[in-house]
Amino acid sequence: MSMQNPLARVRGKGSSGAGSHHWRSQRYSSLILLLLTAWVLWLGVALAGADYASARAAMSSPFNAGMAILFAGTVFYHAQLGLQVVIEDYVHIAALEFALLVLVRFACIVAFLISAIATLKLALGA
Amino acid sequence: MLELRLNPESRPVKGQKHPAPEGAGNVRTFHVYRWDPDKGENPRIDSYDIDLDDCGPMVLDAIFKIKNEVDASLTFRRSCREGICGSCAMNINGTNTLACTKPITSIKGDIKINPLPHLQVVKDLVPDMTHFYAQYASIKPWIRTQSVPLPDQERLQSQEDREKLDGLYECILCACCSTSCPSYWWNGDRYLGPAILLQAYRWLVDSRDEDTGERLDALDDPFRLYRCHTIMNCTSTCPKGLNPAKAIAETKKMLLERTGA
Repeated sequence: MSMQNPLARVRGKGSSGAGSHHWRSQRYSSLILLLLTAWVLWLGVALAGADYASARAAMSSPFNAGMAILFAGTVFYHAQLGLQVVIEDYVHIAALEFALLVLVRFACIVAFLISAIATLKLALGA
Repeated sequence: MLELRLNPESRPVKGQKHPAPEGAGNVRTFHVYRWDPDKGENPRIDSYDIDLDDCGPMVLDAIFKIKNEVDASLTFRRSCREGICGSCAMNINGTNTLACTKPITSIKGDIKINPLPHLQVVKDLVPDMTHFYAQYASIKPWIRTQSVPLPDQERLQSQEDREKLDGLYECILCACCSTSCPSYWWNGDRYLGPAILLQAYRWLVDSRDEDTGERLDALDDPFRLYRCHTIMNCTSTCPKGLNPAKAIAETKKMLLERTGA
């Protein structure tokens, strides 16, 4: 039970001024992913049936390795933005919402690092 | 947390059946949501058999007939009976619309009438609009200017600029769109909803208003504006044929333009 005025409740803590950045990042990353996914598909088709050595040779090209790392970065950045919206939409227990948001961000960063290091390992032939 | 079912005490149960009078020819059944806060009972769905040969053409006419001839305790809002006041907004056969402009013949079979979804019910078909109106007040829906007006002149607007308000000024704030929006259901406490965002856009594009930047500042928030996920229920349900989803998209575009990519 609150005796707060309804307008005061709606005005709340005010506008965060941060909504458009998230929205814009989500759109731009999806546009970049459209291009990068086409490249990944092309590479997949080109390497279909090839052995490990030729796959390794392909990834030793700086262009291919760079594109692969960029793809992983954009995928996990976009995934984090999207999952954040889903969590904000549906999870309304403040502590759980906070924990999930941090967890998603952490998981996406870790997943990107693993992908990037695996690509580098392949590219540099360690 | 997202709730897929109502609380046990809010789930409607089967109610009374009111048969049509003897000799009625053209009978249709209306299932109407009933809840009385004074009784402490679950809501119930009462059924009324109505003789359409002895009833006006719109759903509101049938509701009037029920109130006048069958059960005077049936509670609902209405005023203009011509789709301009927005009072009789309710959920008819799963779609939010105005009972006064919804022809009975446009519906096949039984007709189900419920209050607007996801608002607190005051009684029967009357929802609590307090929060919705507070959200409307929060966007300051009046002209805001910096310049001092000339004492003997109105603020002029060209015909082209006036045309930008078409499709916006017709909104009657019936709340059909906002209460059809899943995002408004789950986050209506912070998300302004399509009706209020259409009204906000109406002032953003008014050439006479001089507070566009402040209005955009107030909307640039992940919840107030960006809970819109372009579900488009608002546009498909609007009884006035308006397009709140487009107004929201245009607002997002304005925010994008002002940051410059």
